[in-house]
Amino acid sequence: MKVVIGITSLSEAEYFLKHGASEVYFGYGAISNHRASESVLDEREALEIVRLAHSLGSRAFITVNEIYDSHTLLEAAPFLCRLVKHGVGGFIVRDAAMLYVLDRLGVRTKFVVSHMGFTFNSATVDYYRRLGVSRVVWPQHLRPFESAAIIRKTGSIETEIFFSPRFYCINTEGACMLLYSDRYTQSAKRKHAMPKMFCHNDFRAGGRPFVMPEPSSETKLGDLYDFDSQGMEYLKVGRLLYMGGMTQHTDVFTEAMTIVRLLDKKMPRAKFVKEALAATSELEEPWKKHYH
Amino acid sequence: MEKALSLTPGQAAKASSSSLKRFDAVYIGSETCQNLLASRADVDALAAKFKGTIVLSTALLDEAALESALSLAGHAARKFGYDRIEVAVNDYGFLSELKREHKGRMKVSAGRLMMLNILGVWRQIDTPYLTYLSENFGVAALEADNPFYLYKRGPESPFAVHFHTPLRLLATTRYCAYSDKFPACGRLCRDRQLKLKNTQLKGGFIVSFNNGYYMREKPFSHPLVTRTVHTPADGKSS
Repeated sequence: MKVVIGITSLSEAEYFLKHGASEVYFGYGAISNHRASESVLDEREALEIVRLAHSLGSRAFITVNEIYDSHTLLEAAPFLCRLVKHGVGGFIVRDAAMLYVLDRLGVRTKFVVSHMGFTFNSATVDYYRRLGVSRVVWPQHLRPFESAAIIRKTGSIETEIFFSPRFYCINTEGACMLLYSDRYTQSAKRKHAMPKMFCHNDFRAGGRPFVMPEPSSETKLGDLYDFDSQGMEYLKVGRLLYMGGMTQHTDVFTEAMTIVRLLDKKMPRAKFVKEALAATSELEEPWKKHYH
Repeated sequence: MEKALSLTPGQAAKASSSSLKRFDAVYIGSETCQNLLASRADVDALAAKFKGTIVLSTALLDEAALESALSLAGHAARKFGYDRIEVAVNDYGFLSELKREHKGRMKVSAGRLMMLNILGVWRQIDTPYLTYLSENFGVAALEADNPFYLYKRGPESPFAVHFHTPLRLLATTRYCAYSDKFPACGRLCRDRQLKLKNTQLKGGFIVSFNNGYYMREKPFSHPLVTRTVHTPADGKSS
């Protein structure tokens, strides 16, 4: 498995590509991309990132992972064409209409469907393949036994998944309107603290505590092991919205690289989970007991 | 204006024939939990006591659930005819397979989770993505619960809107609040609706129901709304 990491500047791209990242991806400020405040703002810098990745024998992807209105689609197209001309690694997408527009414009590049594309079965893989997609980012809530069933039907498929111990939405990402919590501000001051979103709050239901359910870190790491056994190629480190500076970003990158090295040792599952848990011991354990 | 009722299979089993009489359509299943997909027997039992349109509500589907949903849709169309059956779809693969298997004869609507995915918070229903779904998969109606989608829109849209109240979908999860063995399911939720309170909600609450989180929404009228869909919601904690 290789590490793909989200970046927000040329200097970040250089750092991560020279320290073992296989690929980088970025958003461009003028095109909505789910993490607007974590985007590259300048076109020259975007093109430099693409060139840098090429010069280091790697690839830089741009994420255009929203659903767009007609105006945005038409405005974005020329810039995306320029990126292709300069050798961008591909586009991370989830808008079928955008794929249509790019196809009509004769844009030929690699298309990766975002985890927000809701790919939970082989028919959805085929749906995206017909639109030109050649890599699927599995949704965070897809379990390995479910991906195994998909792969049995579709055959070999290039796949990627988020580094789940660090990047995990407890509700289905891509369809969530819950508000962010003020508590994030408090927790983000602590090193390694997970951002506190509204969904991470403690609720009460009928006078009893209620926490929105989430798998444990142990489960997530075990799932990564199983995905790796299925031949998954890429582990994705996100752009760390709300988590602040470069130090934390590099910390999480280092963790992901450690996990990949452990996976490469092909040790038994239980041993991997134990060692991976130790390697990520700074992780806040979000798991709490379910409401019963 | 059509009137519809949205029920889980458990609720549908308990509903009496007389209580369903005043509705033009009944939705059966769930848009947020694949384990609450209706069975053939559930649909047959509903059809025996309700003579109107039956809408199969479906969620995001893994491989096994996709097969079940396709099988259910095929059974319902064969037994009751395409005129009487509709499917509310939230899974792109399922949408695609319905088109292939039924050659465009099955009436499909884009479900609320799909709408949340496509439209997010602010966008109105003129996104080219929906046009793509309409032209390629015959989506003619949208299941909506958010007035934002329709503000400032005239009646010129190609889509009919089925507006759901009083529960507006805010988020969904594939992890059950009652069991850590997803997707194995003993239907432990038993159609319970939990009223979740939190100090940040400032006196309000959200409702947890069948792996979805909802806020309460008022009825909404607009020229594009051709059907109002009511979900029983007593708001009680259980």
